[in-house]
Amino acid sequence: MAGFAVSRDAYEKGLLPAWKKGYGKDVKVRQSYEGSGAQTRALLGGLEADVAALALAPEIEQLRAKDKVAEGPIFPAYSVVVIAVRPGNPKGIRRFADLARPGTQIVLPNPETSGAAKWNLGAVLAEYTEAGKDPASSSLPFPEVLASLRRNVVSFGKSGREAMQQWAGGVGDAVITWENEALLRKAKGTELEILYPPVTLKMEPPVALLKPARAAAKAFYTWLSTPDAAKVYAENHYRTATPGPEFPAVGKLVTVADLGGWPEIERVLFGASGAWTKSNP
Amino acid sequence: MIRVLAWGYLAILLLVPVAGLFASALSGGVGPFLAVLGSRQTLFAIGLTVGVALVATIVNVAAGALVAWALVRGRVPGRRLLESLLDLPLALPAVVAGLALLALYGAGSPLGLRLVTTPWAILAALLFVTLPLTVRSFETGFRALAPDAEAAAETLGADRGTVFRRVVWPSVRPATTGAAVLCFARCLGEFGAVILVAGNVPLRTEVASYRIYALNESGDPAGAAAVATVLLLASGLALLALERRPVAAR
Repeated sequence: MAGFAVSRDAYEKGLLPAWKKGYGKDVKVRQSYEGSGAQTRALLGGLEADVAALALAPEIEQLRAKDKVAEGPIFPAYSVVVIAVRPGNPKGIRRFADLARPGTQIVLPNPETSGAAKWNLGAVLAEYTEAGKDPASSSLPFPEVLASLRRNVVSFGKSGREAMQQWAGGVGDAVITWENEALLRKAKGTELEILYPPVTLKMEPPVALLKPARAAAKAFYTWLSTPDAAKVYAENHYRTATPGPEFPAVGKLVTVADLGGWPEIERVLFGASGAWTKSNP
Repeated sequence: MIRVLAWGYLAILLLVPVAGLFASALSGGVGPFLAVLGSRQTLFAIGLTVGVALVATIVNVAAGALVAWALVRGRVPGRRLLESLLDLPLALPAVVAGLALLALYGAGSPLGLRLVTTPWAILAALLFVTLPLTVRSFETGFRALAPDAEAAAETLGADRGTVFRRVVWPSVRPATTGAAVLCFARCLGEFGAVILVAGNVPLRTEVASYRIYALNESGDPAGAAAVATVLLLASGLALLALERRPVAAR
C-alpha cells in the first residue's frame, strides 16, 4: 500500500483494518505514506506496492507509462475544496475571489510541492470559469485575481496537511483546504468554520491496482467500492456516491473534466506561461 | 591500514555524494545552472539564508560562550537538568521543534511575540536548533582551561587583560571557531524547524533549503542541485576562512 500523506488516517486506521476483518485470511500490509509527488517518484523509482492511492490522476498516468498499473484508477470517494476560517468568519469571506481582497491573509499549500494545492487553485479557477458564464458579471481578468490572491498568502505549506497545521497554529485568516481535512481538524479540536463556496471543485483522489495485482491486493482494491468501504470513508470525512446527512449540500460542484482535464489545468495555471506561474513576482 | 580505512570511509560518506551533487547541478550544462541562480527568487532565498545565518551565528556564539561559562565555572543549581535540557533541540525531530515554535511565536504566543511568517521567526528557529552546538563547543574549550594557569599568570604580575589575551583566548579560540562553523553551517541547511514557521513566501520569507526542496519537487532536480551547490560553497568558504586563522596563530 502506497498512499499520499493526507490519505494516511483513512487507510491506516480505517479502511485497511475494516477490510482485513471481513477478508478472512490474515494479511500483513506494509504501508508507506508520503507527499503525493514524492510517492509517485518513489513508485517510479522502484518502490514495490500493490495499491497506490495518490492525489492526482496524472500521477497514475505516469505509473501507467512505466507499465506499472494493472487496473484503474477508480475514484471510490471524494471531497470538496472548501475555505476554513476563524469562528464567526470575521473577514466575511464567502467565495474564493474574496480571498483576493486586500487585507485578507491566507495560507496555501505550495503547488510546486503539493498535489493538494493543485486542487485548491483549480477550485479558484472553477469559480472564475463559472462566473464567466454569466454575461452579467464583469470581473477582473483571471491572472489579476490570482496575482492578488498570491499577494495575500502569508504562508506556504509544503503539503496540504502542513498548510492546515500552520493555519491551526494561528497563521492567517483563511486557508483553502479539503472538506475532509477541515472536518478532521475540527474533530481534533481546532476551532474553525467551514465555508462552502457557491461554486467549488470536486476533489477525487485516484486509486490504482498495481502489477502484479496479487489476489489480496485485488480483493482490497475491489472492496474499496463497496457500501462497507463507503461507511469507513464517511467516518474519515470523505463523501461517496450517496453522501450521508452529516455532509451539507454544496452548490455547484465542478469536476476536473469540466475544466478540460488535468493537462488543461496544468497549462492554464501551472505551466511555464500559466497564470499561477506568472503571478510569481 | 587505518589511514586507508579512514580515507575510504570519508570518500564514501562525503566525497561521493558531494561529487554527485556537483555532477547533477551541471547535468544540463552551465546554462540552466546559471538560469536558476540568476532568478531573483533564488538569489533572494540565498541572501536571506546567509544573512539570517550570520546573525544567528553571532548571537549564539556569544550566548553559547556565556551559557558554557556558567555551566563550567559557575555554581548553577540544577546544572545536570540544564545540561540535558540543552540537548533537547538536537534530539527533537525537526517537525516537533517547528510545532513548538509555532505555538510559541504564533497568534496565541504566550510571550506576546507574533513572529511567525516573518524573517524573525526564521532567526528564532535557527537560534533554537543551534544553541546546543555552540554551548557544547565552548564547554569543551573552557574545560581545557586550567583555572591554575590564570591564577599563575596573575601572581606573575599579569593584569586581567593580559591574562585574557595570553592565557584564556589562545585556548578558547579553537572552540570559538568550532562553535561558529558548526552554527553557521547548520543554519544554512536547516529545513524542518524553519519551514513550519517561516511562511516560505518568495522574496519575503523563503529560505534556500525550502527553494531546493521546491525545485526538486516541481521536477527540476538540476536547479535544486545548483542552489545546493551554492550553499555548499558558502559553508565551505566559511569553514576555510575560520579554519585558517588558528593554524596561523600557532
